[in-house]
Amino acid sequence: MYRKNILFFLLLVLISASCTEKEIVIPEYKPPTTKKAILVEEFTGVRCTNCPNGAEILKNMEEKYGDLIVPISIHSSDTWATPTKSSKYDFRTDDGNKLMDLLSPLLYPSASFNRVFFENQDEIPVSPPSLWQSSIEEELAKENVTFIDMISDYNPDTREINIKITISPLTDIEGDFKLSVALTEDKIIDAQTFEHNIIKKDYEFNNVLKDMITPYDGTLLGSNLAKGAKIVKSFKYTLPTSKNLWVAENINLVAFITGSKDNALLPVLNAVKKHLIE
Amino acid sequence: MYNKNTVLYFPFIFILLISTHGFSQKKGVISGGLESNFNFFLSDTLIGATNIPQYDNLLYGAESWLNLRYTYATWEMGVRFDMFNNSNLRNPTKTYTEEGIGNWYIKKKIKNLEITAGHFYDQIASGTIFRAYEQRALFIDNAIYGLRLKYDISKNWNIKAFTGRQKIDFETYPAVLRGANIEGFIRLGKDEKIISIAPGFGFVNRTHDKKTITKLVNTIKNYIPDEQVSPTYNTWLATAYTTVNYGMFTLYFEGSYKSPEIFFDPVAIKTEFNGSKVAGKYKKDAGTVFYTSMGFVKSKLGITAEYKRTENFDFRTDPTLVLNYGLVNFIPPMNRLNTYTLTARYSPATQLLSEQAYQFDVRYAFNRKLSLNVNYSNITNLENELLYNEIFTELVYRNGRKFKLVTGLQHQIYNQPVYEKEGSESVVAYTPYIDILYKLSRYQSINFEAQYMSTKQDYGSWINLFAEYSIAPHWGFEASAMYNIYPGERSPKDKDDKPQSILYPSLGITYTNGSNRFGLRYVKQVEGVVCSGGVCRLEPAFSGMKFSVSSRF
Repeated sequence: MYRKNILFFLLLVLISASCTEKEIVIPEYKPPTTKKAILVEEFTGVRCTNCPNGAEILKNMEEKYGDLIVPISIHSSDTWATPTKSSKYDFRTDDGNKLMDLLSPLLYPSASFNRVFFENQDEIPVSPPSLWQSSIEEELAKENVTFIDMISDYNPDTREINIKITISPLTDIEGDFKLSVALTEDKIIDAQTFEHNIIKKDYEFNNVLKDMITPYDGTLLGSNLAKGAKIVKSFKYTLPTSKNLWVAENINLVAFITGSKDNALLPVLNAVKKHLIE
Repeated sequence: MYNKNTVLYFPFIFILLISTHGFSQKKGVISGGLESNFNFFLSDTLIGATNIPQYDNLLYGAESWLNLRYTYATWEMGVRFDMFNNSNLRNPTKTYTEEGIGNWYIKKKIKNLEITAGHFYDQIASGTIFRAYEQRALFIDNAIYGLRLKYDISKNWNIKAFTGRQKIDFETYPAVLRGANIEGFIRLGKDEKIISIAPGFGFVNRTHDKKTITKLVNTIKNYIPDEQVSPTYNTWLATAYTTVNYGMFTLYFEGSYKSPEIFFDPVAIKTEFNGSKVAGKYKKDAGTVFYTSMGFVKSKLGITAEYKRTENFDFRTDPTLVLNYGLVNFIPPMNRLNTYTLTARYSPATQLLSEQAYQFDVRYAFNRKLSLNVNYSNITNLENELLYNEIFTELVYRNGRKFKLVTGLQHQIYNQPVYEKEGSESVVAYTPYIDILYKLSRYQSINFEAQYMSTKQDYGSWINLFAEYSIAPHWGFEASAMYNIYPGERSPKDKDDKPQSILYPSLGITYTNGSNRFGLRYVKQVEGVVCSGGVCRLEPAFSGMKFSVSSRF
C-alpha cells in the first residue's frame, strides 16, 4: 500500500512537471505598410449602454491607422437603436436593418472587419470590442489584392454629388463581386444612453450610416476578376435637406468591394472613405 | 476538431457490438432516452416576439437528443444523436441547424483501472477548477473529448487523470486540457466519537494553441507599455478540499488557486495610445476561490451556513470567449435555488472576477404537519458593492397526503445594472406566494399557485397565477397567466410611449404513458434572464406553441 501511494504521488509529480515555459515577448508595435483598408461595420444603438465605449475604441483605431480604417456605424435593432425619449433623430435605416440581417450581430456593440468570420466567434461581427484590435491586426497582415480609388465632385447649390470609383485587381480573383457605396455622417449631436441608464443629450455620433447609393448588398462588378483589369463605376446622388442633418461638411463617402462564392460571403477586398468636402 | 465523418461510423460499430453480444450467453443491457422540443413561432410585436428568423420566415424550430447506452460485463459504451433544426436555443435571436453525433464514448473497467475514451462529463471537487457538464436549457455542453483514466488505489482512495479538449457544438476548441484528482476517505475514532474525513486534491492545466496566443499578442502589443502583459501557453489550477463529518456537524472547505494568466476584465480601465480611457482590457493575474459550508442537523432543526470569495477566476478554454462559452470551471452560486416563476425572475449569475457571498439556511419542523424554512443570502463584489440580497421564508403545512400548502415571502435586492447591464438602479422586490396541492381522490389532484411581485424597477409589478389539474397516471392540464399589473420603465410601450399592462397567458396539456411523456403548450413568455445552477443568459420573449416528447427506455 505504501509503495502504491509513493507510485501515485510520483505520477502526480510527473503530470504536473515541466511547469516553466519560454516567455513570450510582446513585439514592438510597427505601423502597417499595407494598402488594404479594413471596412469596419459597427453595430450600435442609442439605447446600448456599452456602445459609447465601443465607439471610443473605434475612434482611437481611426486615429491610429488613418485611412486603413473605413468605419460605418450601423444603428439597427429595435432593442438597441429605437430612439430614446430624449432623442431628436432616428438613426435606423432600411439599409442598416438589411445589413444587420445579413451579418447577424449577436451582441451590441459588435463590429465586422472586412466581413471575415473570425475563429471562435459565433457570427461575423466580433464582440466584445476588446477583440477588435486583434481582428484588425489579423486583417492588416493580409495581402492587398485590389486597388480602389474614389473621386467625387459636390455642387453645393444643387447638393448633387458625382462619384467615380476605379477598381483594379492586383491578381486574378475568383468569385462574384459587387461594389457598395454608402453615405455616412459625422458630428451629429443627439441623446445616447450610458451605463445606469444615464442619457447624455449632447453625445457626438460619427460615421452614422445615412443611406446607401447602391443596393445594400452592392451593385454587380463582375465575376472572376482578372489581374490588371480596370473597372470604373460612376454614381450620382443628391443630398437630402434636413434641419441639422445631412450637413455636407460632415458627410463621408464610403465604397467597398464585397464578394461571394458558392453563395458564401467572401471577405471584403478593399474599401475607401473620403470626406465629401475635404 | 474531431472528424464528423469518422464519428458517423460509431453508431454502426455500436450496433455491431450489440448484435454480436446479443447472440452470446451473457446479454448486455441497452438503455437510453429521448428528449425533443418542437417550437411553433407565432409573432407578437407587442411583447417583442418578433424580428428573428423563426418569427419572420421559418415559423418552426426543433431540438432533439437521443441517448443510447450499452453495458456488457465490464464494457460500457454510449452514443448520443443531437439535432437542431432552425433552433433558437444556441442563440435566441438566430437560427441554428446542425445534426450529428453529439457525444460518444467507450468505457472499460480492467480490475482497478477504468478507461474512458470519447466524450465524458466530470468534475473536480465542487467544480471550481474543472467541471465538464451539460445544461441543455442553456445550450451548455462542456464535455471533454479525450481520454480519462480512473484507478482505485484502495477501497477508500482513488485517483483519476484526463487529457482532452472541450467540446463546442459538433467540434472542439483548440486548447488542450489535462488534469488529475486524488480523493479518499478516512475514518477516525470509535463508536459515537467517529470523525470521517474525505480529503482531496486536484489540478488542471490548460495549454493554448499558437493561434490563440497570436490573437492575444496582436491585441496586447497595441496596449501602452505600462499596461502590456505577456500571455503564457500554460495555466495551472490547483484545489485542495475536504469534508469533515462529526456527529451532527458537517464541514466542507475548498481552496483553489489559478496561476497568473491573461483574462478579460470588462471594468478595468485601458489607456489608449492617445491618452483617452476606455473600459475593458486584458489583465494578467493569479486567481483564488475560497468556499466553505457548515451544516448542523438535529432531529427537527437543520442549519447550513456558506461563505465564498472569488477573485479573478474567469477560466475559459480561450480567454477571448464571452457569455457562457468555453468555461472550464463552475463556481457554485450562493443564493437559494428558487422555483416559482416570480420568485425565480431575478436570479444572480455567479461573478467570476470579484465576488464575496454568504448564505444561511435554517429549517425547523414544528411537528409532522408544519415546517419553516428561512434563507438569507448576500452577495457583494470585493469592493463591497451590493450585488444581491435575498430573504426567503417558506412555511409548509401538510395534512395527511391530501393537502399541502406552501406559502411565504421573498424580499430581493438585485443589482440589475451589474447583472444585465440594464436599468439605472437595483431592483427591489417583495414577492409573497402561495402554493396549494389538494388531492381530490387517489387519481385526481389540483395544484394552484399564486405569486405577486411588487417592485418599482424594471418591468414593474407582476401577478402570476398557475393552476394544474392532474388525472394520474396519464393526464395533466395546466393554465397560467402572468400579468404586468403595474408596468415599469422596461415594459413594452404603447403608441404614446407609455408602459402597457400586458397579459402573458399559457395553456398546456401533458400525457404520460409509462416512461413516455408528451406535452403541448401555448406560451406567451416575457423576456427575462434564464438561470440554471448559477449560469444565466438573457432570454427574449416567446410567443407560440411548444410540443415536447421525452422517453426513457
